[in-house]
Amino acid sequence: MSVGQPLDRVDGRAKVTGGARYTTEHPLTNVAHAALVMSTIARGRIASVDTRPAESVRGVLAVLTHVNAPRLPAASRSGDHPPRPSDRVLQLLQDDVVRYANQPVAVVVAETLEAAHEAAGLVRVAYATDKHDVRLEPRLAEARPPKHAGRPDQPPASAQGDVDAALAEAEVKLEQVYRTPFETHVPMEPHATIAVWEGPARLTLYDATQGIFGCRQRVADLLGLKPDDVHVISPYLGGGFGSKGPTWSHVVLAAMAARRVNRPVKLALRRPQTFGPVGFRSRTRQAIALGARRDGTLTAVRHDTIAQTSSFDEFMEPASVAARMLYASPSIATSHKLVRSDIGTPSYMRAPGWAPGSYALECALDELAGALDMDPLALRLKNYADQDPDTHRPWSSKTLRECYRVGAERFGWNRRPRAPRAQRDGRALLGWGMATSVYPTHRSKAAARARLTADGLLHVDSGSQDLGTGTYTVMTQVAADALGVPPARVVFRLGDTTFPETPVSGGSQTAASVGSAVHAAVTALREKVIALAVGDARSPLHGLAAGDVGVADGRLSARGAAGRGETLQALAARHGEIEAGGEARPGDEEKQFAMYAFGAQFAEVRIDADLGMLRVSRMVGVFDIGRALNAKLARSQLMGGMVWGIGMALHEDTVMDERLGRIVNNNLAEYHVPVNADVPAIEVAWIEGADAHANPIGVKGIGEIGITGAAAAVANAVYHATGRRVRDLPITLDKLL
Amino acid sequence: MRDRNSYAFALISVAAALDLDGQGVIRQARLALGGVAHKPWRVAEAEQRLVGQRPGDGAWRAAAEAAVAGARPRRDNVFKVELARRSIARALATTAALT
Repeated sequence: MSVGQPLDRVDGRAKVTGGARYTTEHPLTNVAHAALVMSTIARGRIASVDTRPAESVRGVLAVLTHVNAPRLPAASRSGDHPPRPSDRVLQLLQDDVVRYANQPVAVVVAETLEAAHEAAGLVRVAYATDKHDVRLEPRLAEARPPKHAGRPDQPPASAQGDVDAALAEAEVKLEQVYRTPFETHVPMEPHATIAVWEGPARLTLYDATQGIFGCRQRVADLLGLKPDDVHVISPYLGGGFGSKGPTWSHVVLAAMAARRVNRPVKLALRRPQTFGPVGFRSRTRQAIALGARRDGTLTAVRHDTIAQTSSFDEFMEPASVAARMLYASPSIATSHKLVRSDIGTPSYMRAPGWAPGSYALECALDELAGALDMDPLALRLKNYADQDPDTHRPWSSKTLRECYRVGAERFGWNRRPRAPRAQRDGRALLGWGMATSVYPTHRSKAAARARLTADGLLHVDSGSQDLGTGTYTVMTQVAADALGVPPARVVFRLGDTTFPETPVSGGSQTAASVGSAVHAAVTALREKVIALAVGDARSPLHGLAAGDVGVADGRLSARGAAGRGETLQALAARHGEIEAGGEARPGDEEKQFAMYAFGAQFAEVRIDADLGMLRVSRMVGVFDIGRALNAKLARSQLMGGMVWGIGMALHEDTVMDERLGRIVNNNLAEYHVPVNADVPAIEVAWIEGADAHANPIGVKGIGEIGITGAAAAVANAVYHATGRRVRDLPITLDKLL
Repeated sequence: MRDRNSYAFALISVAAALDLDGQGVIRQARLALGGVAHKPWRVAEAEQRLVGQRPGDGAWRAAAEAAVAGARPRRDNVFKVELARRSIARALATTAALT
């Protein structure tokens, strides 16, 4: 078995030797370079654009503005909401309206990158400025319910039992408001596209996208092309975290620019240009009310979230959804509302809703534990949900109880003093906190194609994407086991719309969706190969029943008589290439079961008692993730999520200058994410065991679960260290003085 | 003092130097702050306050008070006054321990 083993990344060598080509690195000839000009006001109109100084820069080929840009098909120009919920309304130089600061308002194309950027700096845009408002808090009264809570299958509000009555009668009650900031994804690789017109209506896009097929469809819709005539290629990504899920304006603008200059055009966003126009996590204001009996039994849970969206599009950061299902309670009510602001449209960011929601809910549980003088972990166990409180369905699997137990043991939780501010180490105050992690297990329809070639290699192709998470590697392992060959005999390809169709790499669904499809395709190939062997007079296996033939380590053999058989290579050499396709789609399991990954996180912080300087000094995370396809990659993914949790708790904050409506810290120097010095030894573990119901390969998604609960564990540790409850992330030094 | 443990602009930075005589009394002192103004900010009054004192919390507190006297914080950086006081005291104590 290869699945489960800590196999090194199969693309590791290509990555460290520079052989792996990221979007901007595809070697095309005659490529022109594009640079975007962004709006400097948050709301208004473009009064005039002077492009002459830009056009006079040597090497400039074209300057596209709303005045001269090609008109897109009428359907694309209208402000109507696009057809799919993950599609965003874009800014494609179709009108003079400025809807947010850092909106693309012109595209410069030049022979060189340097000329393009120099000229972009010379485009003079004059604005007729309108009064803007980028704030959330002063406008809460204007908040309105969204169409849905982040996903069409998640309604904006929910109600079970009578929360008001339960709160009125509760022996112990907690009501608090928690706030999370505007957060930006900042993947290592900024967004980038190369657009190549292969003919008047045929387009190839090299694009840094988490969803090649969604990109194909969206671009085809907007440019009036047939999806089959748009070819999207994306073999490697330098992270995405959701920001490369939807197709954003620059992708279409690159295609428009390439058409204008009749050459391939490369457009890479500069780091500051990724703050606003390509999605972010909205700030949230979360009001939580909990009611409980003296013994800790929850009687009421209320969680109301208000977040921001843009003036022209709708995206809800669904922070209240975790409260619907995480703890048993006879009454649970949740809601979501949106305030429209003069900002870009927020979008999916690692564990949308679940990350900020678990922060607030898990801090509220910690506060309730304090009010009850109860151990925070005991409070969670007291309210452990044995079935889904929302749908009343059984869990597809749930080993959260073991996660709590193993995590507490490894962390040493039972040595934790109940009272805050009770542990010191020299000048440092020490605090311990814990929280629950949770993230839904999704999958979507996916397909794959498998070929056994005459050289005995197994080739598997499936659309999909690898964000840097290890898709190449885990699919190689799944394919290897499904046929019975060593992983080294598998060549897995992805990131190309000529391959079988797959979903967006979002919602932690790639392993479940594509893995199940790869498993189906290779299993079909295996059956085909065995059928060929038993029907082939030249095969030693001729005449056997298919069920009596096994495949292991690249060799077909008779069951019970391992000596009788031949290699896959020998069979393929006689028959030539053997091919099979496979598909996997969600079935009834979604109606029968509630499917979630869970986890328990524990954090220790050290705070300089005088100066407020804070460091996370230890973290333990134990997760319920079904089957881990690759122990090394699973650990890295979970740990990466936990590191994001540290950033969410202590660092990340996109700061707006409210007077200008512009982002102040639009760079990696001032938009703080944790660096090595902020990340302690992190212990990651999981409870072994496949989920028997969620999908054919028994996995739960692991890309997002690690961030959920992590910020709360840290925040709860800060309270335990200092006795101060900060309900407004990030927990920076100024809030602790 | 900064918001993360590596590469972040200082919220407050303190440079301190102490010159002690043979009796352990402060002969002269230098104290400057970063992150509190549009330029590095030398606090001569605080330096003067230290001269002739013996190293210790009382001296550090007095110097810190002198350093922030008259500080005019803005809406979003009020915390820096207190942070400066504490950082100055820590910097002076650290310096004295090295002297």
